[in-house]
Amino acid sequence: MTPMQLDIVFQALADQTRRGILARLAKGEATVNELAEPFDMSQPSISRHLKVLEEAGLIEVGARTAQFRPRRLKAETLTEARAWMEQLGAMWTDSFDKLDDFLEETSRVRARPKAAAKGKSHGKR
Amino acid sequence: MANVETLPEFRLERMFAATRDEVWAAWTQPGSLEKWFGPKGCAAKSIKFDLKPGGMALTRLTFPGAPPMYARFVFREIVAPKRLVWLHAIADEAGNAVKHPMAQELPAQMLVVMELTDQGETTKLKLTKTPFEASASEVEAFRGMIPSMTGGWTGNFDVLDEFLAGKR
Repeated sequence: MTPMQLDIVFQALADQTRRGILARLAKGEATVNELAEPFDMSQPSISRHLKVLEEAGLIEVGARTAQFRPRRLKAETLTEARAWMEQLGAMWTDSFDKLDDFLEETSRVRARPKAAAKGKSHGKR
Repeated sequence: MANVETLPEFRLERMFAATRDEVWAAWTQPGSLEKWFGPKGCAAKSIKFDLKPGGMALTRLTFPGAPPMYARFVFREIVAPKRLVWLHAIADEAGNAVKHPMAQELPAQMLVVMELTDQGETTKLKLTKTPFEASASEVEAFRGMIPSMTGGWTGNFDVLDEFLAGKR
């Protein structure tokens, strides 16, 4: 996913109604009318939200033969976005794990007690 | 701008089995920094490292199959070997601060304070991160982000878990 595509995905996710739509679709396919119901919103408004989600690759139109063309979730896009988010979130805890390994290789502090070597989880919030 | 006293703070403490000088060197020598800096699975490369107040350090982080990201430090206080303060930002390859593509609502710059203290044979590292010149909404977005920074993102992706659970 390019930064620009990610931009589009995260903008799509930044809206409460659209997250609500995704939550509904997580339970299974739904038509525009079914999606509009819980939101007290006109069908055109919902359609606009659906368009944003579709362009972000978060949802797709289901079976074309069906009269109501149900929408469904595209999990791959969310999975990829989550991978990025986790990388961002884990920035420091990951870095410190790696710093610990690096220092273990390079430090002149010898014969340190086992307890100290287990400092990995010590003091971590 | 939000009142300083109410600013949310991300805080992380770790013990390292090394001397303060060694931990300090791991942070301030670019060749060492690139050995450990960044999330798991990414390769770090120091592009620029100018250790002086106002100086910039730019590190490229590359994840397999993804475009590179750049982390920018602009140093504010350098007190060897115990205190390093810098403004932290995601940057472009030229070192201009940019908003993270996945986090447009977060502050563009964070003030990070890294402090080292002796604890017998080991060194305690304390890192704090607070929003810098951020709007009230950016400050709140950061506050909401803190749980995910201490391990495990559980926010908006619950939807995905639900979906994937339904597939099983």
